[in-house]
Amino acid sequence: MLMQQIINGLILGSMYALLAVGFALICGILKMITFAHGEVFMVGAFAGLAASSAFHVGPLAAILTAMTVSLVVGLITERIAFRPFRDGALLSPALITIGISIILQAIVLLWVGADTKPFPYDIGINKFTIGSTIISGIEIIVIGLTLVLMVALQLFIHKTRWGLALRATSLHFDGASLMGVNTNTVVALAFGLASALAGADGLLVGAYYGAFYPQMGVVISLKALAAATLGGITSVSGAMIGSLILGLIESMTVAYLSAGYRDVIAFAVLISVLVIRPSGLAGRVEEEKV
Amino acid sequence: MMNSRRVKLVLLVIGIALATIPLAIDNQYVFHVLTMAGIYTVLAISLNLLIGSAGLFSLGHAAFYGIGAYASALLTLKGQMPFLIAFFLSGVITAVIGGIIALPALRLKGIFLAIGTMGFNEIIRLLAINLDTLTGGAAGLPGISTPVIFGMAISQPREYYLFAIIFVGITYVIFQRIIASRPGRALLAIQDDEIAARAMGINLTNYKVSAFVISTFFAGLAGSFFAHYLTYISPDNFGLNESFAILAMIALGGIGNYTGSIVGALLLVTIPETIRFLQEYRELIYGITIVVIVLVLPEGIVGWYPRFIQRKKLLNNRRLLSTTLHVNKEG
Repeated sequence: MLMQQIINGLILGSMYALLAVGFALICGILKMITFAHGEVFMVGAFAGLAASSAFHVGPLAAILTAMTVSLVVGLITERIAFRPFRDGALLSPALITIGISIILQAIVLLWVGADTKPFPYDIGINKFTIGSTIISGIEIIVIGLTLVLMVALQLFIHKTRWGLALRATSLHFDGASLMGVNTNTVVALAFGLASALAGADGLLVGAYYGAFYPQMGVVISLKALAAATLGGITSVSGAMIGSLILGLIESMTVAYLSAGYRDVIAFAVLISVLVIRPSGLAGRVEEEKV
Repeated sequence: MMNSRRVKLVLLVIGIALATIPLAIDNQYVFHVLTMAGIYTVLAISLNLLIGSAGLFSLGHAAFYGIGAYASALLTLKGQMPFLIAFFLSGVITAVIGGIIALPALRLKGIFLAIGTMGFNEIIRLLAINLDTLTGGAAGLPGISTPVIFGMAISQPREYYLFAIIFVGITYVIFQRIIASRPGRALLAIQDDEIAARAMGINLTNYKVSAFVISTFFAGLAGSFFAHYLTYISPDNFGLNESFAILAMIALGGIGNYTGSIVGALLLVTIPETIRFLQEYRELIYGITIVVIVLVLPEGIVGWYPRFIQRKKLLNNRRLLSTTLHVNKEG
């Protein structure tokens, strides 16, 4: 029973993590949040779904399609909502991304309709049974793929020159710019990475629940934002840890308290952590300078 | 920002025009749209005090709107209170909760405050769904009584509309007075530079908590009026989408500009109604409107006008340079 709950928590955590690291990447560099991330996730999910049901491509190609389409949408979002506002105004980018999220939802709604679409085929992986714990094929894919993408992301951030540029820009935007980092490219890179991961996540979540619908990104992106904030929203590894914590808290709440209160508990934990440590569990404490 | 005499004159004309609409038109639908615009105007003006004047990026305003609505509905349904007492009590209850929320929330800066208040908004909506013995759960609370003020029953769309106008008028005047007074200038100073404001002897916590209390008081009143106007409320009325919509209204009108909040609320309530014939494209156009206006007029519709006047003055009189540049600063 407990083991099963931990597995459920890990799956939820994986789903949040792929979105949460995106928030962390974007927020780490721009110190702003995007409200269109859930819709980038949703558009990727539908792109992957269309590829698998209309063109009958395999799972890997479907994931790649989802990531590519999300990447493009993410880059467009960055161009419209963030590039014109580098002076640090919080509100304009926030509003434009809210507008973009409304637009994306409306477009997908017009395109596919409001009803929930299932995933077209069965992924041919058998379920595992360890003792009394059952792990299904799709669960293995969710956890496995998340793990692979997270490791790849960490390697990219810590071992490559582009990763160095990302970290430098995150540490000090203007300083990095003065050191010859093309910060506009770095911001686009962060958005591209975040959006591609969101797209992959969209297809995974849609396939896992067997449900694709225009609002599928709303709640999960809010939870992922909470998870990222929990871990310290400017830190990518913090976002991963925060997602796992949130996933475990949720599955334990469902199992031992009440299913109706899972999100209440999740957000209450978020607010308590924020109040005690305003920059999250792993976040940098920015000192105020006079 | 205010070249005050002309603005007052324009406002007076608009106010009289709005108040005489019932004499000219008797269309229930028009009254309904304008009454909703009135409710959103109060919400927008009250949120503007937090975001525009105090620089507190709160994204949970619909939560306070909802608290006021549920408080008022329950006070009249279960407590059998008359409307007017429930109306004020729901404002007070909301303000008390707002004050309690403000104390820890003020430790948070910028986006962290935004995320924290978003979380609070979700908690309130989920509580409204889950505490179903009290709130009726996801199905909502039906059968809320219509307002009776000193024996006068408000039940016709026209009467609601007049109530909304008076409500908006009082709210607008109060907030304009607040912002023109010493506390209002203190809030602006805090928004500009917290450390400098503190050095000038401004007590940050007192002012910020007061801003929260006043703002949420009016959000609670708006919620109460909404509950007794529609006589039915459900958790869906108070989700994050509503908070975002209110934010969009003050941004369209101009951050920190209370006249702008009226314009923004009117526009964002009436635009989706006027393009009702486009049916499935409504949401799309709504989204595009927000994006385009923020891109084209980042100062907002009303904020743009004073900036334009200032530019002209600037050309004529260079001495103004130092005093006008930081006026319309965005929060």
